[in-house]
Amino acid sequence: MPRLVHKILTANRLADGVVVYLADADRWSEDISAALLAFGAEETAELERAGVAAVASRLVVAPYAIEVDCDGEYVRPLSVRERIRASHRTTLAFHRERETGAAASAVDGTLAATQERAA
Amino acid sequence: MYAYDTFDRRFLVDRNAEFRDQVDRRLAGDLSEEEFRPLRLMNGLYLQLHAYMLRVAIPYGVLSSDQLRTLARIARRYDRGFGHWTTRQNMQFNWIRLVDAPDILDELASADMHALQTSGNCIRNVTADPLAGAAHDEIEDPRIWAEAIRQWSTLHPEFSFLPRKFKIAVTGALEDRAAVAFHDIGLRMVAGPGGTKGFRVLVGGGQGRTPYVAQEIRPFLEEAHLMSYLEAILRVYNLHGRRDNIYKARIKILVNAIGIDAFRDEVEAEWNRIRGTTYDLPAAEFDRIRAQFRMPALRPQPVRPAALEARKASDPAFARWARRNVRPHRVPGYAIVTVVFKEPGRPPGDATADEMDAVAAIAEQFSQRELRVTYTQNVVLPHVALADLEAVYAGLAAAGLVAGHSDLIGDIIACPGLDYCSLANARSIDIAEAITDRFADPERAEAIGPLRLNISGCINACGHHHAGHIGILGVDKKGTEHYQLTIGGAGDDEAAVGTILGPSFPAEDVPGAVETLVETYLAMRRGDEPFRATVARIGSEPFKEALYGHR
Repeated sequence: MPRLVHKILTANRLADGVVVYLADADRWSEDISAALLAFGAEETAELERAGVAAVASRLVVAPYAIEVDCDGEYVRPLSVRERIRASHRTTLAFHRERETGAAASAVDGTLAATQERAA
Repeated sequence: MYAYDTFDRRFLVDRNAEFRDQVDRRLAGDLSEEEFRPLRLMNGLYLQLHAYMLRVAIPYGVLSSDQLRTLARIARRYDRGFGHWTTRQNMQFNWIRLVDAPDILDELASADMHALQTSGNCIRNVTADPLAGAAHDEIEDPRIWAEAIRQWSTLHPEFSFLPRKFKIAVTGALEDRAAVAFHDIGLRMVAGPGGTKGFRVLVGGGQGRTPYVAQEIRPFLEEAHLMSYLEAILRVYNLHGRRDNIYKARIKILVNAIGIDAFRDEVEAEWNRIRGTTYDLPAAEFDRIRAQFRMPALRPQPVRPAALEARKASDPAFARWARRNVRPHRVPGYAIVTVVFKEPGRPPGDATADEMDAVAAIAEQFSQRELRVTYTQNVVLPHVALADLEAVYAGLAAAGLVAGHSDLIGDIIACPGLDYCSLANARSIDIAEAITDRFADPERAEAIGPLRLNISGCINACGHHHAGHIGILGVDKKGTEHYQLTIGGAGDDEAAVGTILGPSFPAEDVPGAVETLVETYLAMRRGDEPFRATVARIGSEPFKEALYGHR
């Protein structure tokens, strides 16, 4: 069965650069699961219009639509790049682990874990 | 170290006030993103995947302990508690808020630092030999000329809008530790006739999608004429460099398009027109700058401390650290210590605020308050008494900074990759960590010997993969992260661009592929022949066969 691909709108917040998703007509969330889903060109264009308005209101920078998978429980970007953005995660995990004394291999920054995530 | 005067400080205060106003205007809607973007980039502020990134300039890699503490304070107060040593001797912070950027620049200015020339199509922050002023093989301290170049190039009105960014590296030593041949201009100090000093001038080197080793434009240039010669090169480039195609805009493309001889003719003609006028550095100014880089007063120290030798004999881990991370100093009784930010589990080049404070304290107590950043993403303590090595080791061990070993396979250069960078195709840090884990046994790493492994997350090559003995390049293959391997590159005296071995590998296969290359080398090497020498002797075919023979 062909996969249903939806689109959501993402951007970086102007004041701090943090990755955000359009959640309502004028609300942006850091949580991708709150993103407003669009299906088809018309709904996507509507998201993009909201993005243009948010730029004019100085809420966000450079909004664009991305493709996601969703099954009602989760929203998952199709591209690795967007999955990394959505995670708000970087090597910071390494530093947290060091502070708590846990093994570095336990963090989600390891190759195996990221491959699994990307699969 | 070079000390700012009131002019320098006033300049930064004015500049920061200007940027604060620009940020206010952006937030108030008086500037659009298109208008604001070039202004923030001129102050080192990028917008990356997750947040704004601020790249702080560390001119020619020289830091004081107070400056390092300032970086630690910024990491703690404005970032998430860490910073990242870059492959151009700078530090970047990856989680910066736009609204905080003006305050951060003010904090930097309070320590005589800034973020100028870390972005944009200008002459970027000049890089130099990280062992400058301490190396035993030095003809002249390159920091003198690097500082002169810094002053000349900062907001140079004619060269602030070049066709593309422009990078200059300087070394004053016999051994190239600044990768000068991979720069737009590479300067190597050489001795001239009659006791004179000058530069062998290289031009047109660079990595990126079209890598070139720089070519010699002049075998010997008297040092007194350096600034006018640089001016002439930049003028020719500024006039003829392409502005219609970003991929063909670097000077390396121009030099290779018209040929080094034609390029030299243009430069020499321009130089002959301007030399002897006001472009060169007046002797008094040279002397003024040189006086600021005087060797610190180092007290006489034992040349072979008995306690140090006993510790080496009884403590294998200390002995290995001393073999790998301690180099000879020009003053007997002293050494140069490399602090390696690369042990297993650490993203290459990341430094926490606590680690920065710890290293600053060690530099204050044991290295004349001086530090250097290397383009290999480590930090150097340039003036350590041999008698203090055990105390330095203890301090670094307490900070968790003695497990990495300089110039072995785990001392990986890696760009931030897709974990942070909006240009990247693939992650670099995960691959680096996986390889470091695989070669975590320090005895095995030392048995393999010197091996530079470099990783870039895209063809822009910030991770210097072209110059790696083993290079790894992240590529996007139908939406998945793949990695292409190269072999035989080098960034030192025998600079070379690596050879691509074949089709790319998925991420999970990369550590195994590197293992195959290393095992092939170990099987083929003669005696203690280093990796590069074996590759030079047998070529890339045996390595290709080992990787792909079964396909």
